[in-house]
Formats: sequence, C-alpha cells, structure tokens
Amino acid sequence: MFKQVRGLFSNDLSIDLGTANTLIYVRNKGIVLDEPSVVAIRKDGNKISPKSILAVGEAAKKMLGRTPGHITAIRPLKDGVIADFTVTEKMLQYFIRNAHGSTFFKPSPRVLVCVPCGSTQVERRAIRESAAGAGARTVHLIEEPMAAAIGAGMPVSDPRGSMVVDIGGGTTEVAVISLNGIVYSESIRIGGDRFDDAIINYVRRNYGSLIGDSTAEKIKKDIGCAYPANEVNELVVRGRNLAEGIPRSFTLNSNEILEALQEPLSGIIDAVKNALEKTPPELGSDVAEQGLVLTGGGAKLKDLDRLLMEECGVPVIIAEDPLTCVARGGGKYLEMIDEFGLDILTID
Amino acid sequence: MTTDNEKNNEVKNELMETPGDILSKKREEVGLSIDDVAEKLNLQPLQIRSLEKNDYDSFNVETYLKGYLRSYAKFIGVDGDKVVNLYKQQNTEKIIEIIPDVKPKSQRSSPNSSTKLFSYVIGLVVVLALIVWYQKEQISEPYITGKEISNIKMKKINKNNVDTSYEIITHSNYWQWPIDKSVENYVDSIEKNNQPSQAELNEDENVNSLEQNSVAEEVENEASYNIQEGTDTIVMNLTGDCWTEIEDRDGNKVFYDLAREGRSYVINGKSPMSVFLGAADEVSILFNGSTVDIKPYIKFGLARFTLPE
Repeated sequence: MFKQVRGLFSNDLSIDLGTANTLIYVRNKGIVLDEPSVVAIRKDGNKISPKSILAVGEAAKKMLGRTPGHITAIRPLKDGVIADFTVTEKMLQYFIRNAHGSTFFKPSPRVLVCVPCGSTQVERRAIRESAAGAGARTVHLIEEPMAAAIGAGMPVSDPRGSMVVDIGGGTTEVAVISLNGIVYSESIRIGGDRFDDAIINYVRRNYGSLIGDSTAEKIKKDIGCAYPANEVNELVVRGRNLAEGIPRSFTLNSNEILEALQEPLSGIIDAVKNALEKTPPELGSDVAEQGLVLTGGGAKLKDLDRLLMEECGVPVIIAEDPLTCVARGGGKYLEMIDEFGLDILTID
Repeated sequence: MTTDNEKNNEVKNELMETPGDILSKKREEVGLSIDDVAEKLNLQPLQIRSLEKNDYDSFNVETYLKGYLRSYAKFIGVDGDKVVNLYKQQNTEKIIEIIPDVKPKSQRSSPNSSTKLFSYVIGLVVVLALIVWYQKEQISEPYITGKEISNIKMKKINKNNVDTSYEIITHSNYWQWPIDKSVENYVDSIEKNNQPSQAELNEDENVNSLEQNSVAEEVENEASYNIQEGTDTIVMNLTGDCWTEIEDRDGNKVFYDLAREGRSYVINGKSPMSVFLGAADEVSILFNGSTVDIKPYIKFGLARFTLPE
C-alpha cells in the first residue's frame, strides 16, 4: 500500500544491470547514473552485522585488487547474471536511491531491468526479486538485445529484419528483430571481461609477467584493436615478473593485443555468422542490405566493425553512444508500455 | 519536402561544407573510387553516391544512415563524429530522438520541483488534519480521567454479563416518559420508594402511564437489582434541549442521551451519581425530592457535579 503511495513520488527507471557497468535511465531526464557494478564489503568485528557495505560503484572499483584483508571488492554479477544475490540487492538499492537524488519519500519506482536473452528462468527470477527487494514497485524484464535495438533507434516495429550485436561486459547478444519480436537470438558468454582475461593470459605467456584486471582493461582501452591498423600504438605496462618476483616494465603494441584478442573475437564472429546462417532468408536479405548494428561497451573496441564487415560481408555500423543504448532503449520501452499496454514486448 | 531539402542543402553548401563534400574530397585525396569504398563497406555504390551528394531520401532509417556516414568517414580516415555532427546540424528537422548526456552526480538536476512542492503540500495538509482532529477529540472529551476510563471498561464487562441496571435503565422507554402529573406528586411517590419493592415499582409504572406492555417485562427484570439499598432518583425538568450524561456509583451510564425541551425525566440509580449537563442553564434538578442548586457548577454552559453534593 505504501509502495503505491511512494510510487507517486518516484520516477520510472530503466536499469541496464550489466556485468561491468550499471546504467540507470530516468524518464524525461536521461541517463542519471553510470557506475561500475562493483561493491566493496567490509568485514566488521561485531557479531550482529558481520559485514557492511563500504563503497559502491566508482569508489569500489578503485579498490578492486587493492584491498586489505578485511575489505573485499567484488563484482556481484557474472556473465550478465547475478552471482551474489544479497550484494546485488544492496547495490541496486544504492543505485536506485542515488538515481532519485534526495526525495521526501523513500523511492518506490516502477523498474525495468534488462536481462540477457540466454538467461534461464531462475536467473530472471533472481534479477526480478533483487530489484523488488531494492524497493521497486513493479519490475518488468526485457531482453537486452531488444532494448539495445530500441535504444539504437532501429525500426524494431517494422516488418523488416534488424540485426543487433550487443557486446557487454559479460555476454554478447546477437539477435534478429522484426515486428517487435525476436526472431533469432543467441547469447554467448564472451564480452569485455573475456577480452581482459585474454590480455592477462597473453602477457603472462609471452612476457612471463602478471598484470591485474584494471591494467588489462586500460591496455584494452588504450591500444586494443580488432583489425590490423596501419599505425601501431604502444603502451608501457608494469607487471610482476613471475620468474624474478619483482615488478618489471615492458612495452606492448597494438598488434600484440590484436593477437591476444583473437580467441574471444573469433567467438563473436562465429556467433554473428551463426545468426546470419539461421536467420530466415527474407530477414537475412534485409540484414545484408542494411547491415548490423553494434552496441554495448565492446563496440568501442577499435576497428571491431571493420573486422565484422570483413568477416561477415554485411555492412556494420556502430550505434550512437553505444554504452547507453540498452538503458535508453529500456526507457523508451517503458514509454511504449504506457502507450500500447504491456503485451507488446513482454517476456514475463 | 525533397525539393525543400535540396534547396536547404544548396543554401547551406554556399555557407559551409556538407558531410558529402568532406567525404568525397577526402576519398579523392586518398585515391579510392566509389566502388572501392562500396566494396569495403559492403554497401551499394549507389548508396555511397547518395551519401556524397547529401541525398538522404533513399535511407529511410536514420540510425543506419548515421552509421553509414560514420563508417565511411572512419574508413577514409576522417573523424566520424565530426561528419555525423555536421549531418545533424544540417538536418535538424529529421532528428527526432534526443540522446541524453551522462551527467556527473554534482551536475544532476534536483528532482522535479513541482513534484517536491506537491509532496510538501500533502504533508502539510496531513499535519493540519491531525491537529484539527486532535483538538476535536479534546473538546468532545473535556475532562477525561483515569477513573472514567476504568468506568468505561467496567461498563463493557457489565454489558457482556447482561446483569446490571445499565442495560434496562438506559432503555429509552424507561426514562423518556413525560410526567404529566405534577412532579411533586411524583416525588412523593419516589420518596416512598426509598426502600423500594417490586409492588411499588410497578405502581410507579402505572402512575407514569406509559406503554406498559413494552416496559413490563423489563420492569420484572429490573426488580431483581433495582430494589437495592441506596437507589436514588433524579428528576430533571427541561426548558431547552440538553445533552445529559448520568453515571451511577458503579460507573454504569444510567442516562446517556439528549434530553428534550419541555419534558421531565426520572432517573433511578445508585448514588453517588455523577452528572454532566451540556446546557445546564436549561435544566432544573430534583434529587430525591429536594431541589439542587446547580448554578455553582455551571461553567461555560456546562455543568459537572456529583449527587448527593
């Protein structure tokens, strides 16, 4: 009952609960929150509440891999789904409050959460319940590629095949959409995190040095690329030499990173090719004519569109502001719910 | 629409360069043909030509158009965002969606001020309503004491057991009869009733000549407890309507009603009886036959006192 009343003072939220980043889109306001999905937990001595939340988001991300014994910085989501239920709930609570700013009442918004299309019923239920536990009045779920396509401005309601490839932190979603529905979808557990892991493994193998997640991410952002470029970028990296046990610095160039990323990239290419293969011919020809749209943080990897263009033989375009596509699409979907009713796209 | 666009584009051509100009110029610099570009981008040469001519009518979805512009620009080594921004500036009428910015927390605008105002107004109204309600409560129960609370409890118990005079005496048929004959006579008979018996009570009933049938049964029941030591009688004469509450020794409400103008009421109960009168100026009271001066008790028209004094 109070949730209903509090709902009057709350805005509708669309949450892109991603492995790497959580984005919140508020209707009529835009993206109000874009923070890493990281929570730092402190173990306290007292028995009543042995654990407390120390930091969430950006602050917690800085602690990743740099924490003393009594603090753990964790990412509660793995592969696009919840790995730690309670921590996710706390994180969502924090984000929802934060997205609302200071209000008179405790917010109880209507919430739309994007889930990977490959997620199981159990995983969806977990996400739904943690959002409800975080104070949501009602929770709607939408499949990520659908939200991404809406957010990218693709003509999802037309009788025309639109292909979207959403490369997130934990998963890559490939989907062909027509008439507000998903015709074909595939979710593979390759994403930004796998890129980082591939870089860490590569450095260990070839330089005998160990680097952390944050360093690997920095390397990926600075000199990572998916297609051989004319100019070669270099970056000086410091890591612990495994043989000597002391930190050493060495130089990595973009061609090495390209080599390191081959495995996850081929996984994504396979998924796209697979999707093109399994798409009904009529829609396939639409896709071949218009091209596929890349969204998500992975789309920012340099020359990934070129690689896909080369490999798949279809035009590849990168959506505008690819990181926020899913959250924005969710927001538009909430508006569509108000306009057309619930039955258009629901997956409940 | 098409011609308008073309005209607009022509006008703008003179003022600043268009996305198509930048692209075709750069392409020629790099030394690529339209077919080369089309092959690399997996697009039709016709589409490339349209892009270079700023003829966007064949592209019916804007997302794709912007994507093509960006990929083309990137391919020949031009800043893709620059080209797309230029396109957006020159084709503002086509742009429907607004891409929101990611704002840092400090810059974020506070929640809608009208919503905030609304919530404060509602809060204020609730608080005012509470205050008004509380004051009303205070007025209707001006002197509520611990004793009275306990009396109320007792009343409930009695009610459940259905044994006391309360149930019957409070029956309106019993007390609301008008006294046609002179009150003096009546009081005389009451005085005799100081040690009441069943017979005398029945006589009372006769004297007061009300609908006997309805009362008779009650009177029989009444007899078992009404003939108890210390039963006293209050007679009220009214010149105006007066809310009256009379409680007997045990806290039973023997009279709890609006006493009507021009009538007289006879109330039996065990003394001491506490009396509350809502319009005390309109009432004269006889207690066991003797007049009671209630003037000293009257305060703002209300009177609260105990009989016998």
